[in-house]
Amino acid sequence: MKKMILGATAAALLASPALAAPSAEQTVTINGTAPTVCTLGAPTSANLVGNLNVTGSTVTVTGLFDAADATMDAGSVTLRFAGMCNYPHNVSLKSANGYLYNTTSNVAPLSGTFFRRIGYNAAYAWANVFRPTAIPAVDSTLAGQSGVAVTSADAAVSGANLGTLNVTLRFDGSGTTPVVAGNYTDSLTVQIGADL
Amino acid sequence: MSLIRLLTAAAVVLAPGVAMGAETVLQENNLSGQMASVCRLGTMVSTSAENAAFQPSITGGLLQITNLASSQTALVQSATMALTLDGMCNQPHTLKIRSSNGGLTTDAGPTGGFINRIDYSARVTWGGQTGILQPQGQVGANLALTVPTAAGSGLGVEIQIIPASLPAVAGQYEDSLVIELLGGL
Repeated sequence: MKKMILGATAAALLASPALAAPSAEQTVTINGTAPTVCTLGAPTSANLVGNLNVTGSTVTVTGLFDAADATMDAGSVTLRFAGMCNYPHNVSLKSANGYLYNTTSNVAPLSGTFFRRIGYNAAYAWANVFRPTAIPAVDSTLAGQSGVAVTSADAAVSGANLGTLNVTLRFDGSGTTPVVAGNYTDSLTVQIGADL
Repeated sequence: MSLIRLLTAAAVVLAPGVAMGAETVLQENNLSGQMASVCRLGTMVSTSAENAAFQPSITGGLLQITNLASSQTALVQSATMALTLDGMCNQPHTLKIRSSNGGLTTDAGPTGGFINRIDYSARVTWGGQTGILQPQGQVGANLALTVPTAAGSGLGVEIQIIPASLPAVAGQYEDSLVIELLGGL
């Protein structure tokens, strides 16, 4: 009887190696999300043609006006922005008024032909997208004041992009046509990320 | 004659005694045994965290980096997580850790000026030894610590996200870090 009990104990000991785990494993899943981000730095100017002045994000065209005959000379400048978008995105331009409008005088000339608003071309180059005439030039003698916003066509960039966004502003001048005196202004917005 | 009978009787009595002694030896053989090779890992516990959270599970756990990249610059943010788990091997053994993806990877393809793999290091402490695994893009990168004896204590794993100078492509990033105690050398 005693022998049988011991025999059973021995059987239990022999069985335990088959149940034991000679190795053990655990797995840590590590994850996280990188958010969608776009950045644009402050602009620097380049390729300045004509008597334009650039201070920060303000382009002053006063120097293009000829005090002798009230005409406007041609000029251009490229604004360079360090930009980054870490996902597929859009790039777009928007002119608040569609041209530079006269903020101090909207009085129609009594006679003769004058420019009362100043159109310009705004082109941008970013990644593989280039829009030479995103904001069409408007240089008519039609009534000035605040106009209709003009937005560039939607331009998609297929992936993340890190580089320089170039915005070139070009003023063609008024030729021999005089410009009505006053302060002219527009607000041009450039954006990467969501479309404007 | 009488004496002869007595000795004979004594011999008869002794003979069964010898037989019983042999049986005792047999019983001692039955008490011997061989302890199986066993390695065990318990549940993971977070002991400290910076910019990360940990959720344990039966098979390990999920380590979530709270802010993997800046929402302003897309640059990778530092993060650390210290984990400990009860471990035991009753024999000489090997601790092995292995990175499945070679870093935190995303489905987004490579793009100039950006990273689409986020590196980390995993520092393990076990059996009086320390080792650091830095996968750096090597799929299946692993580190093995050979422990020449049995060991049983807290197994420490410290995971550290390594910031980079380039922004990260937007998306979900993930890796699996496998921790194994392997019996035998």
